[in-house]
Amino acid sequence: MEDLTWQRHQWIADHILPWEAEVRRWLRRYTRTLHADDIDDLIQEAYARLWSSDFSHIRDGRKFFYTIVRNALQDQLRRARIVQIECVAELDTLDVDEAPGPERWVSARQQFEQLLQALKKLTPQRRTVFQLRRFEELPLREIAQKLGVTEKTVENLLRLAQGQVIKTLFAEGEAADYTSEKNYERRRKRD
Amino acid sequence: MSAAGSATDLNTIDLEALRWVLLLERGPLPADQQRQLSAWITSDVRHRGALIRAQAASLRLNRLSALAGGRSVFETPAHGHVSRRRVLAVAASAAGALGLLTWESREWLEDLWSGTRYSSGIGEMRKVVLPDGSVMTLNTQSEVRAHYTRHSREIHLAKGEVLFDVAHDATREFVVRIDSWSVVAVGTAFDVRRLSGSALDVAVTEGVVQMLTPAQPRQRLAALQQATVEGAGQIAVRQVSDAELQRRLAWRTGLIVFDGETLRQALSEMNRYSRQQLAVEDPELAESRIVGVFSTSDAKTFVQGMRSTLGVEAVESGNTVLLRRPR
Repeated sequence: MEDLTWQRHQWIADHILPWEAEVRRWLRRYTRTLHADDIDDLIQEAYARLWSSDFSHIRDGRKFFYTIVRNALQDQLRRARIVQIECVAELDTLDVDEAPGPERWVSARQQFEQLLQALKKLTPQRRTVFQLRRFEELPLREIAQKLGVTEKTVENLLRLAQGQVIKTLFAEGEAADYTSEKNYERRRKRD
Repeated sequence: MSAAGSATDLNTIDLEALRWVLLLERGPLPADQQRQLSAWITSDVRHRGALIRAQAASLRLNRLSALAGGRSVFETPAHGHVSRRRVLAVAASAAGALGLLTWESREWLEDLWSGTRYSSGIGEMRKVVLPDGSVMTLNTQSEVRAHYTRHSREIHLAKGEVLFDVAHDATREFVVRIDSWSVVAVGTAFDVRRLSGSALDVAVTEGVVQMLTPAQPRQRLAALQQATVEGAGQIAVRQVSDAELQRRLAWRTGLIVFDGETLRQALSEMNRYSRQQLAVEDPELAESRIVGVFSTSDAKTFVQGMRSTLGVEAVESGNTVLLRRPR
């Protein structure tokens, strides 16, 4: 059971997560009435919906992600009984273009660079904990001893460090060149 | 957002999800926490989604972190020598969990586990914790049988590749049998690869193992050594660099790293993880050198990469994708 789950997580990590920042930007652009919290809610709901659907045959994760978020948004609007014609119209005409360009495949090294950039934004203590745990793979106990703090503190620092890094890389999208507007435009022109 | 990165701009549900992911990472949850987690997940669809997202994001972060090669990049204050990465950390924590069992249940567990078969499918990676806390990580298309008794620990590797993190037990040798060969360890970590139609291959990451076969002197292998046994039974031992070993074991994090392999070698490596098979016929093209980091689950991206770097085109027919120069 554990293994299947692992494969599904891996698929989401490879095919959905890289598009999250772009989807969030799209949500911000077309749904001006949504607050940042609403967008977080929607994204969370989208992942839950994703998980309960069968995506074994899905090839284009980006399109799939958009569709799921769009459905979640529509349901939410219906529930809230807020008529936002402009918004719904945008949803219907949204045209997600085809698969990403070849920028994607070289991005593992680049993304590592971006991870380092994201780490620079952390406090030194959080950065240290992240490095010792993720890069050097030390047990929490050992990190606690090294830094002279309790294991609980290390746990907490790691959580905040990782939370911030995830936010920077995947929600704000500083991980992915190919989702930035500029690249996006360039790609559209070239294709 | 403040420069120091206050926690307040992080979504509280996301933070709670991350707390669970970090707990799960450390091993199986005790029953009361398991219940708490279930309650949390079922109370709100957003909780469920946030957990899935945090798990995928952490998986990706861990994979990216593997590119650091076991070292800190930024200076870390207030500690001198930094010890190397811990391959055995997993084994140690699993042993801790089993330590809670009573002696009776341990015996019962031993019976249950003796002669148990484990296998992994195409593209699947599987981690198995054995009764003594040793951990086997099965790479794609692998098959083993584990026989545990009170006096011995024996694994038969039928095919594929397995990384063993062996829990220390001076009273019981840990033996991996492949064909006529036995690889013997006490407490150590090593990777054994037996792919159909190719040589048997053993690489040691920690400690020492011995390789035995009838009518040949025993061969001792230490950390950072790799032994290859060709069809004729000749054993060749060579020293490998830490970086090379890390590359070889990149599959543990769902990655394949190529550093100057030929396209032919790269394709046969990629093909281990997928039903769809990549092929190259042009002998000159097959010798092109490849550099790059790829995901084992994503052959499509690999093909895109080859298109843009080698200028090849991909022709798909049935289950095969042929890479060739454009006509």
